[in-house]
Amino acid sequence: MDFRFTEEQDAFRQKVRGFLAKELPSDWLTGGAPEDETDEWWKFTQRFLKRIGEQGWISATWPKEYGGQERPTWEDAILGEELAYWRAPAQDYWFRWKMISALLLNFGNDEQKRRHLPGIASGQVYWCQGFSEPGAGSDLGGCQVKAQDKGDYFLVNGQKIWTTGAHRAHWCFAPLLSDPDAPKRSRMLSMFLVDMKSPGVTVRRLESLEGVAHLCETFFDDVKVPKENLVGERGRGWLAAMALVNIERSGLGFASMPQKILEQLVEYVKETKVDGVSLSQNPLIRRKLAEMAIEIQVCRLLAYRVAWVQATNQDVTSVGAIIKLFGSELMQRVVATGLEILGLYAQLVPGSKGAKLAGNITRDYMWNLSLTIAGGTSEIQRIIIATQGLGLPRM
Amino acid sequence: MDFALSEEQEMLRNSARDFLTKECPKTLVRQMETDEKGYSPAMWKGMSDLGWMGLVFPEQYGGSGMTFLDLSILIEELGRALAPSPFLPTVVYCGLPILAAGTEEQKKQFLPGIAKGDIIMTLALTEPSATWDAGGITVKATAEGDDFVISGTKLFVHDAHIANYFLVVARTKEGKRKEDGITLFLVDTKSPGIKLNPLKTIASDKQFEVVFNKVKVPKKNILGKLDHGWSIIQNLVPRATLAQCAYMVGGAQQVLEMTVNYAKERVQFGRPIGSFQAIQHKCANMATDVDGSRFITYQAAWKLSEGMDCGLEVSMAKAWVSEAYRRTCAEGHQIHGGIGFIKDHDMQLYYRRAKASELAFGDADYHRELVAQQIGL
Ligand SMILES: Cc1cc2nc3c(=O)[nH]c(=O)nc-3n(C[C@H](O)[C@H](O)[C@H](O)COP(=O)(O)OP(=O)(O)OC[C@H]3O[C@@H](n4cnc5c(N)ncnc54)[C@H](O)[C@@H]3O)c2cc1C
Ligand SMILES: Cc1cc2nc3c(=O)[nH]c(=O)nc-3n(C[C@H](O)[C@H](O)[C@H](O)COP(=O)(O)OP(=O)(O)OC[C@H]3O[C@@H](n4cnc5c(N)ncnc54)[C@H](O)[C@@H]3O)c2cc1C
Repeated sequence: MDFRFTEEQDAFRQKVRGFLAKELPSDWLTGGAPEDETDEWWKFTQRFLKRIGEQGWISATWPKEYGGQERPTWEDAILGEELAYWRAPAQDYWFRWKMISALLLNFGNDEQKRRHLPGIASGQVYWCQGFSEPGAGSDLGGCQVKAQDKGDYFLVNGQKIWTTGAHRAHWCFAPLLSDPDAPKRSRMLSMFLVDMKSPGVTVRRLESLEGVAHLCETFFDDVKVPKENLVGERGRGWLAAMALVNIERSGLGFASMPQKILEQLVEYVKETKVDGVSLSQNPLIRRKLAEMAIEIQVCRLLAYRVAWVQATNQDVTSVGAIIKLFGSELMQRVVATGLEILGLYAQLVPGSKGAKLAGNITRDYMWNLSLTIAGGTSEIQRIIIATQGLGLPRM
Repeated sequence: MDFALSEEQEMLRNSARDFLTKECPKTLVRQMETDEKGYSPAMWKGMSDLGWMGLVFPEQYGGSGMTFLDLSILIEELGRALAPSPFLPTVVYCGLPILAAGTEEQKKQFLPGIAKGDIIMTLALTEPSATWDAGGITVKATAEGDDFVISGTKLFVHDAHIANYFLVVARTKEGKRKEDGITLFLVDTKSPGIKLNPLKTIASDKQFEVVFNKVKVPKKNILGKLDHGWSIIQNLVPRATLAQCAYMVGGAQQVLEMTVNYAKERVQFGRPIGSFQAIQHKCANMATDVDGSRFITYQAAWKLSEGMDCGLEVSMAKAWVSEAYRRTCAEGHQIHGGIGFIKDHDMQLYYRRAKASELAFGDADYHRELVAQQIGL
């Protein structure tokens, strides 16, 4: 057992922090960040993502053959932790790059790798994840968007939903129904790369609870997807999708974002006086913040455990489900507690006069609701832990 | 970062599990609840033969010089088996302070004897005020020639009836701060003037009220410096607290395994109950609690072993594990249905002991306040 980062890893973290200090404006956490999905935000975000690419960080863990540096996966984990801590923009873009690059590296052929990996590494070619459909959410195996084999190409028809960032994406990776007659459900889907500029692709933005429109519906209407865009074995799309959701669930940001909120709340209660007494002297508030710190510590260790499991090439399915479950629910508790502490000010959203801590926690309270749904719901995580981790019988 | 046990630790864990499976079946655990001694001398001997009591003592005192982290792994196994023994009081609560603060003579007098299993010791710290703070120490020790004379009442003293020595925390001077003027004494339990009154406890463990009535202790039996004993306790507390955490981790792991196995076997409505989602979700929550408990404990124990500051981590661990173990037992009971409620079933052994461990060296509320202080509040 050793709970230390190596000197090299610490140095890498310092490098990331230095980078973020330079790239993010000094008032980034105190109200200076542009509102999501505004033109100003997108301009800033594009540049930021490109700068991450320029550092070589998107491709760092890849084989040298494909432009990577074969760096240990720990560095990816540390980068994820820091991005979340500093609320870097568009972390979902970075996550999708991790997923699509893993898809290509593990299942793609040489040509697909050479064609797509450089754009991903550059941080300039955007991807969306076309998994969910109106009739297939948790039950991903039930995907119905059809991909009919027409010889040179597949003809794609149907609808995906919750395709985050589809309105800005150049490409989509999606499991599609290529073999509806296969004997087993798990053999019906194949994984495809779909050019979002293909004729017949339409994207409609959906506005979500917090007022941002980046969730999308994606419609496929007689879209021709060339054969060479089938990734991996035909009929093995479900398997590939499962490998990718494991990556999606294993984020280290689950602990570091609450950590920052905790630190901000500690400062806030020390500075804020009610009836001449600092809020930090209130026993109830002390108890709440202490509990928050303890739960964050548990979360951090569960997250590091996943990173260790990944670094040592063990199966991540159950431990990834544990961090996804604990981390997403923790975020919601942290934010709820934070708002309790802010009292009446908890209503004020970013940009409002008088907003405390830039209104960030109030905004978190709105979008955080999705954390226990996106990437697999808490119920599904519990089932995975119970059946795959503990070996309980399936229904 | 590395979450795996070393090969040596793996061996220690396996040999502990083998030994306890054989020598500490639940029949023994049950028997010891009503046994007058409360532990099995034969098992105690076996434990010392395996070198457990001397695990963390240097070789010159009959030990094998392993780390506190190694010791935690052993204690986890004791907690898993609910091994009834004076191990924690003797080795952790008394052995470690003697190793840390004893004179060469005291170390030679006590440590090899502890390592051999010949000396049983216990800590007489808490009093009827039931606080863990220095302010709770009111038992007085007054100098009289070559001796000190101790008077007053200690409460919640474990295994006092089988101990050869007490480590008594007494007030020798009224200082400016409540931490000042406290002295530790190594007291022979056969000294005249000591009276034991047994307590009846939820865990059916052996705890006592110990009344000291003008008990004479030679000055050479002071551990550490006169009037400056509290720092020894401060040094002990993180170790004792983490030992409790490791013990709870072992218990929680066993409860989880027992429960999952039961859920796989118990059939209702024509199916194993483990196939019902309501049960699966509970098991997933238990697994999360147990993993969290293990890592938060071992991270702190590792820091302690490496000589790093770990006050915050220790309090975080005790606060979390205390409640997680309680939750795990409660969920385990729920999944066991009526049968777990029966004394013949093992579940209840864990449930009752979980409460005792939760209280030992500070419950979650107590440690949350310490956490608050250490995160800048
Ligand atoms: C903010 C956000 C971003 C997203 N981004 C993307 C994206 O980029 N790409 C993408 O493909 N998808 C994305 N998703 C979709 C996400 O993966 C799905 O929402 C999720 O898998 C749940 O599916 P659903 O919404 O259809 O809910 P359903 O599957 O219909 O579930 C509804 C409820 O039923 C429960 N339930 C379902 N099955 C079971 C079961 N077997 N046992 C017990 N309970 C069950 C669920 O836990 C949930 O509480 C996103 C979602 C959100 C909220
Ligand atoms: C103190 C006490 C007094 C009692 N007195 C009496 C009495 O006087 N007379 C009498 O006849 N009985 C009595 N009982 C028995 C009591 O009714 C049963 O214990 C109870 O019905 C549960 O059954 P079980 O213990 O067999 O648990 P099980 O039915 O085996 O249940 C085990 C676990 O599985 C869960 N479970 C079972 N089926 C499902 C499902 N379909 N979906 C989800 N979860 C499920 C249960 O909720 C439980 O958590 C008593 C029990 C106790 C504890």
